[in-house]
Amino acid sequence: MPVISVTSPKGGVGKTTTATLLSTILAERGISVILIDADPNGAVSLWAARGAGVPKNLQVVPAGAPNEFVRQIDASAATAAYVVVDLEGRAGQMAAYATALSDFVIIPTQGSQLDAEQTVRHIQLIKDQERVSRRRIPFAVIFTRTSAAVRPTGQAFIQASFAEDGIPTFATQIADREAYRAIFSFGGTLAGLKDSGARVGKLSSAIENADAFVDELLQQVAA
Amino acid sequence: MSQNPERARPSDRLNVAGMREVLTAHGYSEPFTAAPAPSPLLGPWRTGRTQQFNMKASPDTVQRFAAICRAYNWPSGLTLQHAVLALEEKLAQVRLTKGRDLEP
Repeated sequence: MPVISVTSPKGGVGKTTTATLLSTILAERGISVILIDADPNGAVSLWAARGAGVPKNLQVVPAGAPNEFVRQIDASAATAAYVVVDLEGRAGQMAAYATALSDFVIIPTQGSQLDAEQTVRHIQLIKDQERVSRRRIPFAVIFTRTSAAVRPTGQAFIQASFAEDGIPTFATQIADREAYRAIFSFGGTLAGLKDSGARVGKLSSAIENADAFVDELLQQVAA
Repeated sequence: MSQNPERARPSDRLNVAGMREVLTAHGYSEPFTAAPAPSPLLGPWRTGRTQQFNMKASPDTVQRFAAICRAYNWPSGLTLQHAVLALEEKLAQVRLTKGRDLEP
């Protein structure tokens, strides 16, 4: 039932990676998931079209036109335990609908000042949507494509600024890892890569990282 | 009879006029599409429950299952559907990946 949207006003910040990791890991834990591809680039649909290794209880569907999108989310929420929506990289009507209907909104961002400023503007949009919908829309920022080894000074400064402004952020970061690119090259899931014996660097660390993100999300959804 | 009286639909949260007001205030200038129609509730003739499913269970489980069916006036297939969704959500939360911790 919970609807989780992955949204950002900026492209290339890791929305599709975040949505795909979340959906595949939930599905591999035995949860039925519908992943709605609302990004015109269709990266999730292309990943699913590779066929190999998509978990059976994960259904990837393209988003309908804006006036059908709401029905689609209703129908998905009635049939799957989790609905994940991967949105396009700009604030618009689809993102606004998805945000309004969501139980939780994930905002991926990279650790640059430019990304941070756009993220803050996007959060203001969500806050304004909260006002008109008269309900709290839980959200959190996740830092993506970070270095697994070091934390640059600029990113640390942005994290401190977010904390000071009371902007919720995930403790887990989605690091820039070869394994996360590999699932889009070869199809399937991280666990599938492991089972296939593919030679992908730091695969175990990538799986631990993604699992930690999903665990943290589930805690936040339950909170 | 509602198919799902205890669960709100996500679209129940939607305030289209308010959403448009917010987007306009944030500089979104593209024309809006028509307001989305509310989702119709599925009637019993379109449930998608087409497959027979028989099993053995303890008398206690059967009685409790039947009690839920009676309480909500749900057919057994719909009760099973809700039960599976609820269990999946619970398992997601407590991360009982193999489900064995729920065994008595």
